Amino acid sequence: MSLNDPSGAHVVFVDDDLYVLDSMRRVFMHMNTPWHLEFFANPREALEYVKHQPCDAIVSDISMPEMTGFGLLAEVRARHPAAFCVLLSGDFCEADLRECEQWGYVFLEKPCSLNDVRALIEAGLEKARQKEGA
Amino acid sequence: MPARPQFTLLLVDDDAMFRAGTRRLLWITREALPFDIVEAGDGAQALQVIQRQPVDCVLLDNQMSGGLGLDWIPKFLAAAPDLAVVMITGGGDERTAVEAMKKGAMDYLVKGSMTAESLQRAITNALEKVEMRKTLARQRASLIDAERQKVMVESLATACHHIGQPATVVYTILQMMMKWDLPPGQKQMLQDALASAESLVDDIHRLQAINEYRPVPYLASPGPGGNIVEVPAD
Repeated sequence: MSLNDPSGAHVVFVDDDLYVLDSMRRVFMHMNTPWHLEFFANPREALEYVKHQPCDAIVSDISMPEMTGFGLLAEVRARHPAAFCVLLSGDFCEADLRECEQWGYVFLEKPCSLNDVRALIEAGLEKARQKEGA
Repeated sequence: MPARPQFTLLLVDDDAMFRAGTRRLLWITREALPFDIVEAGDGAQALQVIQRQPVDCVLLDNQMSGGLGLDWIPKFLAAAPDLAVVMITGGGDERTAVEAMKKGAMDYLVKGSMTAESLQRAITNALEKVEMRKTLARQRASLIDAERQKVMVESLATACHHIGQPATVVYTILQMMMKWDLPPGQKQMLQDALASAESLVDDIHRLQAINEYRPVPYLASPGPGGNIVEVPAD
């Protein structure tokens, strides 16, 4: 399902928990971002999508049955090296935090403000734009 | 020199001469087995001793005028489950020896061919078996307790995990609503709600620290052929 501006930056959300995914969709819909938003409950479907479509930023859960957030983000980065990556987890784990730092992903522990997630994505997209322009 | 552990040994025989003979053999082994020796002339007297004071090992004769020693083993063990029973049988009476072991004796000796060495070996063996059984029981209890704790903590962590998303949505939406142009009364209501949401977020983060909780002792299942490791007592 796509939302908002089709010409804007492509932002992909992935969470196997449908309640989480749906609540993210509702909140981001209310935010009226200038982005093209895609939501996937299955990381493999998300991966299939990014193989053929642009992906400027991705927000994913870490623990998912088919593929972990780390596995998914590695595949996304292989195709879209500049993609801004956020891992959103309901469980704080020191090892996950360290792995995020290693790969340059942003790690956020829920509960958090999705306004902060939005601000992080905006800053990440802006940085990528500046890098591209330089 | 460190203090040796002091054991109490109960000699049960209706023959005072035999008890004296056994005492002499135990005197020879006193360095290796520093026992306090208590005597009883029959099973009933022995049971009274066991009920009255801690006894580590019983040397129990089978053929006594007051009845078979064999029949007293279950009564002794009911009174003191960690008691190490060594049965003393007549020569060629393997059936009694087997029966004694079935009833919970840890070893047996043959009357008439007892030496200081065989006596020491049998007592040590019986005490070691009891100690091993106690260690296994302790380990089993520790593992069951650790497993119970693990399951509870996992349930708690899962519940905390599930609270995360609703709290995220509540917090985010309240922040968004605070940007609305509202009359002071409603603005105050939102401000109060937002303050509660912020406090909720902090509280949940503190609750999520439960992920770092590990039961002590936290032993992975050794699996088939795995080593059993003694859990150090506190």
